[in-house]
Amino acid sequence: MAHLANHDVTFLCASRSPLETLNAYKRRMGWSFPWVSSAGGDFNRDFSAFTEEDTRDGTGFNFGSPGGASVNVVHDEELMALSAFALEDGLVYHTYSAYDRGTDALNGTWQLLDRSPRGRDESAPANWPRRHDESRRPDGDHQAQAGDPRAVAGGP
Amino acid sequence: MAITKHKLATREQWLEARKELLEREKELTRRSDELARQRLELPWVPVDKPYSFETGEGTKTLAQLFKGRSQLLVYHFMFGPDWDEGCPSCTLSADGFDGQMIHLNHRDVTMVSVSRAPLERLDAYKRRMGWEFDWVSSLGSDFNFDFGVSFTGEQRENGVHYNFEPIGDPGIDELPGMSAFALEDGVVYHTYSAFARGGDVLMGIYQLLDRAPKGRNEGGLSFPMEWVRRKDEYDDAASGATT
Repeated sequence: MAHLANHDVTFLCASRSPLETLNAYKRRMGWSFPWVSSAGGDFNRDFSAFTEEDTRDGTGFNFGSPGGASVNVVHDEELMALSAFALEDGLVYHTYSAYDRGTDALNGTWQLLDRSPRGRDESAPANWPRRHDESRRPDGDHQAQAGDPRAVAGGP
Repeated sequence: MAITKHKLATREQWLEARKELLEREKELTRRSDELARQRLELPWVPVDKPYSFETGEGTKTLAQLFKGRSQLLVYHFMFGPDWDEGCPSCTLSADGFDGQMIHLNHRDVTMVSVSRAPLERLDAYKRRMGWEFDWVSSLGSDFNFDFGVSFTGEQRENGVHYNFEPIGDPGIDELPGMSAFALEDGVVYHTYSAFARGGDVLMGIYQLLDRAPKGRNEGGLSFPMEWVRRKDEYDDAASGATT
């Protein structure tokens, strides 16, 4: 976040959960990025599907891509996405949105696994990933214990 | 009302343009998946040279760096024996990957950063940056030279190979990279190395910038990463680091 902020980009997360729920989860995970609640507003729905028809029938997720059609994201479901906006002379412009595997590149863990000897190894346990405080290391290594302040990364 | 000089569109026009771009993005995703599959088909090379590393738990061999897991990723972090600080670009990468270690561990991958600076200097810098990842010193070992990320004065004079090609004198003793190793039945195998822009994907911030309205926005700079500072060195570091 500090690096983006110093390159003219503000990054934040937006969710429909109430702010106090977001804040509690953020504290638990030891994160420091800004996280705002869009509860009560149309923001999440408006940036899930971009036509009235897609919004109405729930087929607009990821621009109506096959697979997106089965997702009723505009009807009280949640999925992840990234949107970008520009601000010029007081006007906000929507410039970009990406969904589904369009956000793959943002997950560095996938990129690292892709370069490991066994790759993403999709046959691996279905219980991965877990929240970092829910993990237990088989070797009793540091970082793994719930509530251990060392489980918290250095922040963004 | 002032209107941007950038090309404008109605929502319908934007959707049409975005869907065209989406097809190209999907093509890249499919090609990237295929490339990942091909990467796994690379042959492995047994590593029989006895490298040693200084770690917080004493001197360790390469096999011991796996910490009981079967896969090891090494980030070749540029931090020379006589440097006071780590390389700013490697520092940027580390800000991104630090929180990912525990998730990799639960997929049978240990990741460690390796530099030639003495361990106490790595530890001090790690504390300053607030990182948790494992960082070991290869000082006194051939590891960095053998894996193509450190160069002697003599090598530099004669021209070095980096990123699998001759590049002359890099003008510096250390360059970045990452290497992957597998451990099977006590034998360590080198499986993969990437250098230069091969490490781009580890710098998650560029993936974010690539999706921001102005992209990497490095046009007016004397070199692309000129804007990068250590996070405690930005002008507003005290107040802005976390907002």
